[in-house]
Amino acid sequence: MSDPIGLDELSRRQFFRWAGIGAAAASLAACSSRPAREILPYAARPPELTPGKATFYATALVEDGLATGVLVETHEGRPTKIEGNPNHPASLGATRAIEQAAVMSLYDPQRMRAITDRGAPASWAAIERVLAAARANGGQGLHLVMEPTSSPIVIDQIASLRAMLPAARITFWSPFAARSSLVGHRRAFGRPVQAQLSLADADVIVALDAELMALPLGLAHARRIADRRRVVDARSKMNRLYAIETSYTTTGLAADHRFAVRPSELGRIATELLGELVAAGKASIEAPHANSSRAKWLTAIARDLVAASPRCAVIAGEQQPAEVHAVVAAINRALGSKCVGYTAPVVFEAGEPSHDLAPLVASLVRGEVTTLVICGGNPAYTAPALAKEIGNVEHAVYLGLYANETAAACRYRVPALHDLERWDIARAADGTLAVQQPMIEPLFGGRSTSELLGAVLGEPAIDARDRVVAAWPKLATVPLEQALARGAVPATAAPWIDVDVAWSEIAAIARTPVAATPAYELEIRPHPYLHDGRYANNPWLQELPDPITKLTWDNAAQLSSPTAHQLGVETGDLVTVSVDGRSLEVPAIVVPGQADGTITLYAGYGRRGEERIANGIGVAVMHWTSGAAVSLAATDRKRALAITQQHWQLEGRDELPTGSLAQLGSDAIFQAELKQQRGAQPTLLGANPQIGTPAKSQWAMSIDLTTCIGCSACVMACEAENNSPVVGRKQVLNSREMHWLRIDRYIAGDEIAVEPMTCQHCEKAPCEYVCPVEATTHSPDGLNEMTYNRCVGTRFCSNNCPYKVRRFNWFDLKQHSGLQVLGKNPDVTVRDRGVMEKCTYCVQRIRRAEIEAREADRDLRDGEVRTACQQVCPTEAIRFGSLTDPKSAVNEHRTRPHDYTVLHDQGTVPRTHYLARIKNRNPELG
Amino acid sequence: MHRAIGGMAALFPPWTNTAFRLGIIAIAGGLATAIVVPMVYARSPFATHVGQPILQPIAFDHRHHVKDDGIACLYCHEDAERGPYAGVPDTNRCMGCHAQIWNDSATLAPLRASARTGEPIHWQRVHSLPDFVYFDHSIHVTRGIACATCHGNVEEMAAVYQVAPLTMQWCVDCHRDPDAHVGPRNPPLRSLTHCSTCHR
Repeated sequence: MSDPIGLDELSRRQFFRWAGIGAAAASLAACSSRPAREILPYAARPPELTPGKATFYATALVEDGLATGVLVETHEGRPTKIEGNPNHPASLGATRAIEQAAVMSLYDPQRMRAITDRGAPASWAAIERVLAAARANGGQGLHLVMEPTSSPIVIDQIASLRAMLPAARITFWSPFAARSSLVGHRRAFGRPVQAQLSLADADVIVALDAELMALPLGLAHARRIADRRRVVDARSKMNRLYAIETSYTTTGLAADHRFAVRPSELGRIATELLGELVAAGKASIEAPHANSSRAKWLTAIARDLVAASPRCAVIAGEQQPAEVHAVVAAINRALGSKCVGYTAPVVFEAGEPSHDLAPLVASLVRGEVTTLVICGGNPAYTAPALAKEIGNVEHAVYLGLYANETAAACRYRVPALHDLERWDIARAADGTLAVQQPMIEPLFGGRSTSELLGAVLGEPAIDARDRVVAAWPKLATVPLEQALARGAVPATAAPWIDVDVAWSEIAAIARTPVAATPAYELEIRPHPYLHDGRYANNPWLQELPDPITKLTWDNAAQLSSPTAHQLGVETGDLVTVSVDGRSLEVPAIVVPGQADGTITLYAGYGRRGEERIANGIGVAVMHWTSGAAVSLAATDRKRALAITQQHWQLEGRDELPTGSLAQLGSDAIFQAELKQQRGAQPTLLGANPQIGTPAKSQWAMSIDLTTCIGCSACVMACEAENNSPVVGRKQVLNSREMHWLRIDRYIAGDEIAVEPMTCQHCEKAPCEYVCPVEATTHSPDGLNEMTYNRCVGTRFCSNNCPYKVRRFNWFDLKQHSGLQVLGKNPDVTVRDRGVMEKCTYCVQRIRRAEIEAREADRDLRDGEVRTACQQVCPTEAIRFGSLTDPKSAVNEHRTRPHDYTVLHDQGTVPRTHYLARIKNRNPELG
Repeated sequence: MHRAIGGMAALFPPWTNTAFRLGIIAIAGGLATAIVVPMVYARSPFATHVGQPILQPIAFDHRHHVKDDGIACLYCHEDAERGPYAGVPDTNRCMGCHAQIWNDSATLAPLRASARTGEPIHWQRVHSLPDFVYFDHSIHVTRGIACATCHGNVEEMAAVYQVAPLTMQWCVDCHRDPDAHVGPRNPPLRSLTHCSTCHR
């Protein structure tokens, strides 16, 4: 799919042939008389539906057994857009980029469509027969592989299954699901408890390799952290976030201080931090002091934590080994942190032996498994140890969305239901219940995990909704209808429990000698958008630039500049990466802030299923684990990387002022720098004659760069809301990506700063002066309008735009037919070839709100119009509203001392302002 | 043979002057025609479909329902005051009456079939706007613009036809000066002529 429009194969002759046919067809089409168009009203119309108006339903999207509550915008029964559910604790109204792209996955035409037996069409009855045979001898030889689950319905079925078929075995597997944290907590507390964070009260937070967006309840944590970082002026109190990590993550972007360390050092840093707390009298065991090379900052962090205790938290990422989680748990207890608590695991049997893959692999190797039922996931790709064994099982049944690697290894394939097609119940990471309800009839038939388990149990077919209705009375006192309307059941979160640290265990871990550090170390991370590869067939996510590297459609080895220099490679050079005798050739990408002597690779690439988009992009690295010693060798070959931002330097310009809270209060240079970028500015641009009488509302935006963490959910939300097309790798290489909103990344030393950049809606917009056909004009309410049906494609506007936020349709990239058309937003024009386009401040939402307000004979309320990027933002960094309302949130941002506009000296008077990036530096660390 | 010095015979006989002038006029006229004719055509009823009655799968007669029975427009086209589309009523709305009256009429057989099977009736569209125009019925209706302002006297139509050309010119004429076209309203109507009023 790197070339979705097939340009590669087009020769010059073919081009003219097609162009000629096109011209002939166009002239014929122009002659046609009235097109036959029909109106098909409902036979019986659903009562809640008004055609042409969106209806929102609450449901949940589930990943690794944990739910994120969402509201799904549907138009006449077609889901078109995902919004966060403010009532749901894992969303708080926001989503990640992954949830935004769920609509694209739902309508993916490459989803598995039929039940097959060795590729031949088969019936559900055939699957039921296979499973009935497996029930013989108490389920001897029957093994189930499931994704981690929190569904009470599935948990009940598992209990019945174990009672009925005592010899059957169940393994839960997902490569990046919570496992080592629970094992670590078992060591620290004697039982596998799950950590819960309440970061609203945390003054000091230390994140050890903990990427915010990858944590359970990550969206909520990002919001809580950001809520304490909203700088009003220099007197504001901020929390302080330290990030200690190998490769740059969104946590590192948000952090006040970031330290790049090797994966092998992280464990040692945790014990040394504990050692510093011992020195401060917070605990009394033997733990090592900080190594001299990091003593300065580690002791400073320890002092900061102690001073803030109990309002502090230390968080470890799931990629860290169990020992680190045990030590981190001990640190939090030693600090008496009231921001970290523990509950029983929300995911069924998390941290128990059933989540261990090894016994299954052993049974498979011994040939003891005769029937293997795989419910979801893609273990043949994510667990290479399993991959070659699955094919040897006589009756392997795979229930999944795609004909992926696992489907290829299994004899029977059953299409699964997408999250937006099914009934189920799921819990958020804090235990809160939510009901999943279908938004649309299953597109390709499809079966749920419960149906497959029902077939294993030999149950009669039960309607999926009836299962939920039947399970509900045992779970909550709230009526089901109310839970469905709200999207989450209040007061169902798991209670925090008391735990006692087994200090002897911690002491044993602390005594572990330091392992020798290899020359080069490997780090494997889940991809920020593709996760473990499960979303790899989603072109939106493939084309969404990585928050740090800005890379799309590819997997690259992230190296620091000194390491790259040592190897003699630069970005785009292929390097040979070898671990344990297994070698891969990967393009290098030089990333600032990467720990020296390490390389980071993402999981999720190198897929070899039948999915056409996912297939063949990048390399698969699932057989490797973080911390492995790796040898690197340069080659003389290159691979062009589709990176959306080639230039990272500010070149001494002031687009991105950054300072500390102290500087905001007392640094005259920083204050002058900010002052220079706001207020009146002489300009050569004349008054815009188009504005006429100004309207009652004057729209404006403000983006707080202190709380922006670069997660890119806004970019995806914009693409989903505004029907932006995907262009493919080749066109990204030509800088022809069509995202209206991009996140610019700037580098200063080893620090990365990001700045979302989209149409600034300049009051004196350079684009408007040069359009020869008045296709881009100014509205009386301050919008820089783009009228597609008027545009003739001169591209003068784009050339005259200093912010470079206009996008041109070089090709006809829209889908003309097929399933994906159903997911388009009907309120936004799908643009044709030869037309310029750009951010509209979501004008369709403004006009809809205006119509509703005027119909009710009232004024628009502040906050009533929310742009797609604003609504999805996990940290609420974006504000949107009218400048004419003196109390509006956007006006309040403009009164702050760190308010500024980008390229102020151009005199364009942008309507989008920014709040400068302010850090709460630890004075000890400068 | 003698020939006067400098008296070379003319290469072009005099009539070529006329031919040349005619040629220029033809080219200029042709260009003008090429521009003007499509413009005239686009505004003519051939292109706008004004006045062309459309036959429907059920011979629904607005004259009878509106004039004889006194049914208001919004009884069937209820979405006109709450959504962007006025819409065609669902089969159930028709069956509200026709389950009781004329319930064995042959004309209404497709209606009963739709009610039985749940298959929609394939009504033929009369008023059609391009996809890049986002017209909203409800704001017009709730501001007091009468249905007949744009749709004409539908109660006099045996088969409905378009009365207004639905060209951008026609929309903008009213949007520039609404009071002149539909009379003053309270609260006063706004003149909205910026592009994103209709194009998004």
